[in-house]
Amino acid sequence: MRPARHQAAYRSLLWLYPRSFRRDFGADMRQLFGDRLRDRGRLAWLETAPDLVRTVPVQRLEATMASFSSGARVLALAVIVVGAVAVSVGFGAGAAPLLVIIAGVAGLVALLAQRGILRRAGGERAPLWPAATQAWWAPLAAILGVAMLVFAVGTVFEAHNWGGRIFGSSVMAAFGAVMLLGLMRRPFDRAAGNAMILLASTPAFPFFWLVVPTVVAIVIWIGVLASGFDEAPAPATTT
Amino acid sequence: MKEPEEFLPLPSATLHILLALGPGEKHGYAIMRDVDALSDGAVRMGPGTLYGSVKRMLADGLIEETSSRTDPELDDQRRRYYRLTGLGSKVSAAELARLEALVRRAGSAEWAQRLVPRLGEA
Repeated sequence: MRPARHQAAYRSLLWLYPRSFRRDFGADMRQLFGDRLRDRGRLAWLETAPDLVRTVPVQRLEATMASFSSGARVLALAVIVVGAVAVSVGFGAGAAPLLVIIAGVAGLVALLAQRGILRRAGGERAPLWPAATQAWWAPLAAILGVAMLVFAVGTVFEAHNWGGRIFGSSVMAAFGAVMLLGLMRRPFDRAAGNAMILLASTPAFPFFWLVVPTVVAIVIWIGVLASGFDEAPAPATTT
Repeated sequence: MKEPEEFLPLPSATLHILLALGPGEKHGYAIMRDVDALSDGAVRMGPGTLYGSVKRMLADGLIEETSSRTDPELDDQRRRYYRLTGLGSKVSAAELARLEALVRRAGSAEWAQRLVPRLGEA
């Protein structure tokens, strides 16, 4: 194949990248590939093909995430997490739901930390009662949070080994605490509060056979996501 | 603005690009060749990796595009040239210091000296 054909093939493959990336760097990338082709001949593809496979999804994801608001970003990631949990539970993959939750929560935490939302998790908080009645779904979130704390205490007595007692009850207590702290933080910082509530309700999804926690978590998510993630604080006592 | 330490540890591609731009401004292909040489061929960047990193580094203020060439010999109107910013220099210095401290600490461990005898000489 003649160099011009290689160049044309590479130019076509550049369409896999998002438009904004092509606009900013497409010409440079074509030129760089041309330089590499001149120096290394068709061996240039040996490094360019894996590079395409690696970087196209990254640039696509970055462009997609950049086009969302911060709330929509959290929603998109949350949908992926819940979808993955549902699929893995649906296929009866044993411990997979737990692993997916851990990975999903870790990913969500990383995204929120990167966006600076988690940094805002601390700060002024409303008293628990007005926090638990600030929106129509908030009492359910408060009940789920308290239930997690109760479940954490119960796990200490019910778990079959010390690992279960310590790990299970600590994790459950942490999620319960994050739920209640998120509710209390939300009146002052809606994005941070909502993010904490979404995070804390994630573990309720895989317990689908108990029905109630999953339904409660779904209702909470609908309420939180419908309330939006705009930066304006929600009034502390609205219903 | 972020402090240099907040960027650490740097992704491998970012560090190599910063090091390649240390001596002065370069265009994309010159950066790619220098990274090749700097790493003894261990780090081979394709166009997507290079310009993906460049995009992030421009956004973070680690590098900037230059409009005029300091050396007219370098001038190639078709290409875009990049150079380190003050922040980019500080970040690369901080990362090198971090790596140097890491190697020094690892070198003081006996097991590491058995694996890489040169570490004990440093």
